Amino acid sequence: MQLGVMFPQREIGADPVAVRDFVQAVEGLGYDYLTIHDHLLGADPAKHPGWDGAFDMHDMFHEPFALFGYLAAITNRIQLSTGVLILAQRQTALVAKQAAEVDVLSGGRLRLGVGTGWNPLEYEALGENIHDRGARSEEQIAVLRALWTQESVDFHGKWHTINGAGLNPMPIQQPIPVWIGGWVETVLKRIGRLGDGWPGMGRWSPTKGDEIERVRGYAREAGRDPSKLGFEASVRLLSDNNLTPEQEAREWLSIGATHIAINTMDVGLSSTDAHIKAIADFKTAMDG
Amino acid sequence: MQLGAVFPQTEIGNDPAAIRDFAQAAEGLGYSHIIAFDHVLGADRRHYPDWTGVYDMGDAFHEPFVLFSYLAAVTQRIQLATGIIILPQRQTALVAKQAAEVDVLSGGRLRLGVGIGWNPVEYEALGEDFNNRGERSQEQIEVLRALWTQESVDFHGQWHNITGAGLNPLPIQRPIPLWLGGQSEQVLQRIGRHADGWLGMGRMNSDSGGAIQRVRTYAEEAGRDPDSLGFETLLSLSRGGIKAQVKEAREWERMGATHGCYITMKAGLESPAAHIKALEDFKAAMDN
Repeated sequence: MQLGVMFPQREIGADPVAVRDFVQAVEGLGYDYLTIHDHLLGADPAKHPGWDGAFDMHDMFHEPFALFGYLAAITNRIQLSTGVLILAQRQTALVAKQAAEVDVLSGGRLRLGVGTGWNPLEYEALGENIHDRGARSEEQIAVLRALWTQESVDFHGKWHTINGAGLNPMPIQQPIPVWIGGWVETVLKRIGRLGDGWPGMGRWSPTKGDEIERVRGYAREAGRDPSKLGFEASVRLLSDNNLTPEQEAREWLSIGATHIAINTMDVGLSSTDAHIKAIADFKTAMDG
Repeated sequence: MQLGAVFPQTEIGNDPAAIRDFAQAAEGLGYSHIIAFDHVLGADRRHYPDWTGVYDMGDAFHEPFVLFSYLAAVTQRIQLATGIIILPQRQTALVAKQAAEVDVLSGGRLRLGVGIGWNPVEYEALGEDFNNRGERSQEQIEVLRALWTQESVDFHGQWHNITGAGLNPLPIQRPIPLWLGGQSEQVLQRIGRHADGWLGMGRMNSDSGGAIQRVRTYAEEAGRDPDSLGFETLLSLSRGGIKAQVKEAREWERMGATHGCYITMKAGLESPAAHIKALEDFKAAMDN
């Protein structure tokens, strides 16, 4: 089992010292990895009456690649994971380049979780098409892996044209692991066929074990070894299922989760120290 | 004259410790800023037999935004400047977001130098239009500044649509200083009208002083204070050695240059330590 922490994006604030203290605590407490959400723009609710997206412009999100450059310098061991990066709203070759750079500066510690997002305003502002994002992200993953493993790439797909060009430096991990987030059956199939893992498997439910088995089945059908896939659950400090985070984590582990991330947001913790205390307590409980 | 060090992108290698040492040495020696060049991809010469570009895929380029957040963690004071980011091959809102993140993590130390590049192979791989890059970059600059100064942005231009959305966190500097690279008269006019400075003014020639004066005039004509603009020249050890470059720096200064940045690449230096030694020698010569 790998134990991780979800970076408290929306609550940690913009002070680089607080960011450093939190992340060094994650490493010092013996966690294996840090994972981070990604949103590039937030909607202004005043301009979008009836907005019901999970987040808006008042929610702070540090940009994952730039943040990871900073974290690479101040940590030594923990893996740095996106959970998830909204791949289809970004240019593939730039994602490849920036991921490679993080991997180089961190000594091979990047894991790239990717997803397709839900916010049309972000896609619009970034000039990308939200409607083809699922299918396009599959081609994006192929392009990423080509750029991470070949010095010179030729790629002619539906959405990408690369003629004899490549990245330098190449990443340490060739290729960087790509985990694919989402909950619909199309995504589960995509994970089985193409992914190195499933990040953020959603809310706990006993039926999740069947979903994990289906992903494993899709992997087998694609001629891949299902035991090589990672399955990550994130657990909250307070949930609506009467389980403590530790109990919930153990339920997840019993049905095949390989990674558990603790999410300390949305329960009113009012300082960096409070977030650190919460992850320390969870670690103690899991070690007990 | 503010003296900077050009990050030796193509020669420093991929060891994060060497990268840290170089930046800390530049800061320790009293350099005021570090400039990083930018290329996302390099072309494969086997694919382009008539290739005349300055760089190809054999040249390493660390990605500036990820690199700068790494440097933000290991330095305290030195300004971090791109020289230049090839703006029209990147998504504007992502540049705004990542620049803001670097600015936040560095405590307001980012300067964004932008240009339009020359390499169609990169534009193709990044899915952007090479042919309208000059004109498009002007609209990009407007969008960047809107996103850096307003919590909620509405922008409807020829190439950008943003509907009630914004960045969070905003940068420390609102807006982040934006300098332009390039040498055509059109670029000089754009600098005078819109930019915070001119970066990389080309090789010294009989018109160098005249060009600076014209930029100043364009600024006055636009109702701006020409003294608020910066003018940065690139000096290079490879052009005649230290003495010649000190002399050139003095001449540039007389003509109105406010910043000079020293390139130690292409001078046969074989290790990060040799690049650091070259910075030390140049600083000592300039301080004399």
